[in-house]
Amino acid sequence: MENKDTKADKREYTIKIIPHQGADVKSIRLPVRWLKYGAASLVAGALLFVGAFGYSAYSSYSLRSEAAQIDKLQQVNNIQQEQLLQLSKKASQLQDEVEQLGQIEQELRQITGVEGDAAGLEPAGNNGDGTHDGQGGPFGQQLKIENVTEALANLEQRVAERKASLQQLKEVMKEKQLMQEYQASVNASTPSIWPCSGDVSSPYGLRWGGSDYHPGIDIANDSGTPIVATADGVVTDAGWNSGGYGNMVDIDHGNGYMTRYAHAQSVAVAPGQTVKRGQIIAYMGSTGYSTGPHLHYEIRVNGQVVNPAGYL
Amino acid sequence: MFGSIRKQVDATISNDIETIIGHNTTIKGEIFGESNLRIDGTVEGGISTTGSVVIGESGVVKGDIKAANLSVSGQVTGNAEVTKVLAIDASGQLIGDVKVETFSITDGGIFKGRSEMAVKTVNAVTEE
Repeated sequence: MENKDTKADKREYTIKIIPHQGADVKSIRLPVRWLKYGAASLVAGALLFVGAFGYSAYSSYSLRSEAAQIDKLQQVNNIQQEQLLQLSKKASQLQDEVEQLGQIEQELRQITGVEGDAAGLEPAGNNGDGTHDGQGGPFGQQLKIENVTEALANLEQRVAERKASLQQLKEVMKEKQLMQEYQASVNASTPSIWPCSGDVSSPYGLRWGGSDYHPGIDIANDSGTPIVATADGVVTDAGWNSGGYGNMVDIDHGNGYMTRYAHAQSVAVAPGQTVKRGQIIAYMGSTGYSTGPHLHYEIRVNGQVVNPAGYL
Repeated sequence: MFGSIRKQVDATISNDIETIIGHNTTIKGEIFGESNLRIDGTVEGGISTTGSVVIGESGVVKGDIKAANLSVSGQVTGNAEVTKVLAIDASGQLIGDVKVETFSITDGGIFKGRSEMAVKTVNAVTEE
């Protein structure tokens, strides 16, 4: 029997539905093949169902987990958006501050008179009178990382420009300061005031009908009148001079300037001492070749006697 | 729980209709048995069983029937001795004498003959 079945199963079954009352008997003929097909398709259907159920369960699960993940991401995104907003605000503040720095630099330049590049400043005026302040643009724009990055890059560039500009300003100012210091030192070491009060009793140059050449000016006053240094310098000589100058003080002011104060009653400084302009260095007298109390004041520039009238 | 199911199954099996005489079958001769029986074909001869007998709409019996229950939807010509219930359906026809305990005929059912019912009830009453 089994041998017969190997090729094609020809067995058949009949299912009869038999009423226990008189109604007609119903019979269903079922070849085994159909049963096999039916069983196979049933199994296939069951597999399909199980698969579909499993898949749907899995997909719903994964969907749920995905939804949870999306939720989480959404939250993270919100937080990041908030942080981005903060960052953007900070960038905006920094931008303002850089602008203020620019203003300050501009003012500094105006004060010091240093011309320079006005990097980062507003473009030149556009005939505005400052009474209009309307603003606008697309509303509710989503803040993107690119915007902030761009703003920060822009800011970075402006800071760099500002830095360069300030550096340049610093250089210029340093130069100026050096110049000023130099100028100040030059000024301080150039005779520029009267060495004492009194009357000019004898000017610089030829005198006594051309019989004598006077290498300074004489200023006459009472004995003991204070004599001051006419510029900053270092005392090179202080005391008695036998060449007719009497008690005298020599001061070297640097830059080739040198002054001499002669015929003093007494000197108040010693050689090597540093003196300031206006500092008392001696008191008027009539020592040496003198006819009365007076100060003989000489100025030498690079060893050459010059007319002190130009330095009073 | 499963025990009760088993009982039900057993009962159902014992109520099975084991034997069917189909539409186009004719039996000439007596039928004896202990099972339930359904007849849709033709039986010319007596039937005797301890189970139930169902005569389908197309069933024809020419002979005496002895059974516990008898349901007639087809045609029976002969005497019937039924220990429990004899039912004749609307399409049923029984011509012959019957001896039954319970007898029911649906509207349209035909019965022609004498009937004798068991006097069990009377006995019960007298017993009481």
